[in-house]
Amino acid sequence: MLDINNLSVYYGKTRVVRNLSLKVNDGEIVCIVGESGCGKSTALKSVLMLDKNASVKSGSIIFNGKDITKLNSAQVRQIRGLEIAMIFQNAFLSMDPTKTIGHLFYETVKAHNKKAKKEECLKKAEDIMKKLRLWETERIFTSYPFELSGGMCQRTAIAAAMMNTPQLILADEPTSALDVTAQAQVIRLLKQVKENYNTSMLIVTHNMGVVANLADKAAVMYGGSIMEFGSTDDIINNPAHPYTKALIKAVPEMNGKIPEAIEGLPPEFNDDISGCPFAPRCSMAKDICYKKFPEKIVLSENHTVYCNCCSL
Amino acid sequence: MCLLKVTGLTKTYKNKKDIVYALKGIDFTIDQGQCLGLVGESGCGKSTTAEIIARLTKEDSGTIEFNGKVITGQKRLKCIGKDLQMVFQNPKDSFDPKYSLLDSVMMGADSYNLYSKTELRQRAQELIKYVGLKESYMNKGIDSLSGGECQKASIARAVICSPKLIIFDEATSALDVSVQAQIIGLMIKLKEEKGVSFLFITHDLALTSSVCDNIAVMYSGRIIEYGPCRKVLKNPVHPYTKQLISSVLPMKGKGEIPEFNALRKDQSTNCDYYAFCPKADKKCIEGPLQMVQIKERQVLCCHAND
Repeated sequence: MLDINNLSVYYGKTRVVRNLSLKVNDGEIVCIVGESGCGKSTALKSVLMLDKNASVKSGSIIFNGKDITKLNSAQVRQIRGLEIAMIFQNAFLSMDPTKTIGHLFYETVKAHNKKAKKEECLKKAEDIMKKLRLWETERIFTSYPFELSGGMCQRTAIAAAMMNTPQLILADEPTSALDVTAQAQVIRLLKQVKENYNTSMLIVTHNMGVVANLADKAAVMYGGSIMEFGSTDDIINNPAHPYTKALIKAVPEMNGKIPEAIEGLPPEFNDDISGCPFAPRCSMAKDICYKKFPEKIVLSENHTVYCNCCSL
Repeated sequence: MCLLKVTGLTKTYKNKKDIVYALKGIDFTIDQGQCLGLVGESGCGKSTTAEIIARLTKEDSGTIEFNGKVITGQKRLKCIGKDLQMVFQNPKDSFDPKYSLLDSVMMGADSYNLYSKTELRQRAQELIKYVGLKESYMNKGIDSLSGGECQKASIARAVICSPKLIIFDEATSALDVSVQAQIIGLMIKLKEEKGVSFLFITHDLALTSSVCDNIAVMYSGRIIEYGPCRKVLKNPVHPYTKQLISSVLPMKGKGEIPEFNALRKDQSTNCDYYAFCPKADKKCIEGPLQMVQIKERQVLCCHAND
């Protein structure tokens, strides 16, 4: 459904995303996981051309046979919200504070269908909310965003995104601003969306727990490039890249295990990296890692890794 | 030895319309060299507790004993001085961006006149290395450091006057996992090598299990369960603690995520968790609210465990 090929995105002269290739199939949830500043949000936003400062210098984003990078802004606007919906990190900030939530649902439909009637929209919204097991619909529709809790705002935003039954949902850190309990509820809701509507999702997160509990496939990003791509099971239980291994070891667990830190800090984009971006922090790095970007190694049908030190 | 003893702490915030009961009676102790984890959802009063202990906010009632002295009702510097330091959630906001790293760390001891200037400078340089920052950063502006580096600098600043207790107010929440693990490593190092005690405030339960000796679970301005960290996490007693633990997304094995909706109408009960509690019954409406001892831990009176 969504096929990103060799995408490179620049902010001015700084390359933020480097030769990114990623596929999302029908009804599949793909997570991009990585630390802050690895370019994951930029990659996601470029799918809908949301960032005016970012320019796509090479590569293509094919959605349903159309190359989004070649469309003009009016054409992209046709896709936004109708075929591809977006959910942001802070749902509260993405809502109009002067309008009620009910109006938000109506607006989502009206943007693509001028003749839409408010009553019909609200009825549809109620159906969606019920299907997703969100209660108290009446109170929510008449509330303003600031009257809802952070978790409720995020869940309402997801329900609103479903108003036009999009084929693909993009979510940028949908759980990061929330508490553990609210996080769990949002993950639960996204699962229900997939079950009920078979919607594909591309989700950006830095939380390995989200990946483990929600995704079918996961891509690990570092320094603007994808380091490893595979099924969630492969990434969590059978990671191949040294960075993925280190990242998983750094995740705190409930059993009292002390998380292992990765020495050093993530690279900055003004460092011009020609080799593997992880090489300076990698315990296995060889000379070649600093000079040449590693080749793609196919470990199994769905599991690929970019590393000089991994072999079949 | 008991380092910090908090008893019956209450606090209300008022605005024109209504009164918010932020703390409804908090009791806990921290022993020398121990780490207490204070966990709960946003709005449950974790940060208010920290601010009151650090004398940044005034309490309504209750007493705090720190290092054998009662500090409630006194001004900050006079009573606590160098012995109690705080590390905040957003490290960049807690520094003056005009100064260099070395100056910022030295500033931590400014008010106390503990060291001579050369001594202070030397101490700061040592500490910057100790927390894992490069020596070449010493004269860099603080605003050129990344979030993780800045957090390490703020720990160096807190440690410079050898405090007995450091309060971490969500100090790891804004950081990436790999950097978060570095900070946790640093906390363990400080605890073991310098015998510093910690009050570690977080909403990440998994993090508490690796550093904390004791844990206090807060809900709506009250501590509802308090006891040895690993035992509480392994066998929670209070229904809310159970619910909080089941919300942590596990890395291995896809667990079913429980639903968290109000089960019944909210009533004016003593127990704030009444509307959500799967085990609430009539007793919860009438019963008095008090801490009860169950094995080594204290649980806010909950009839679900009769």
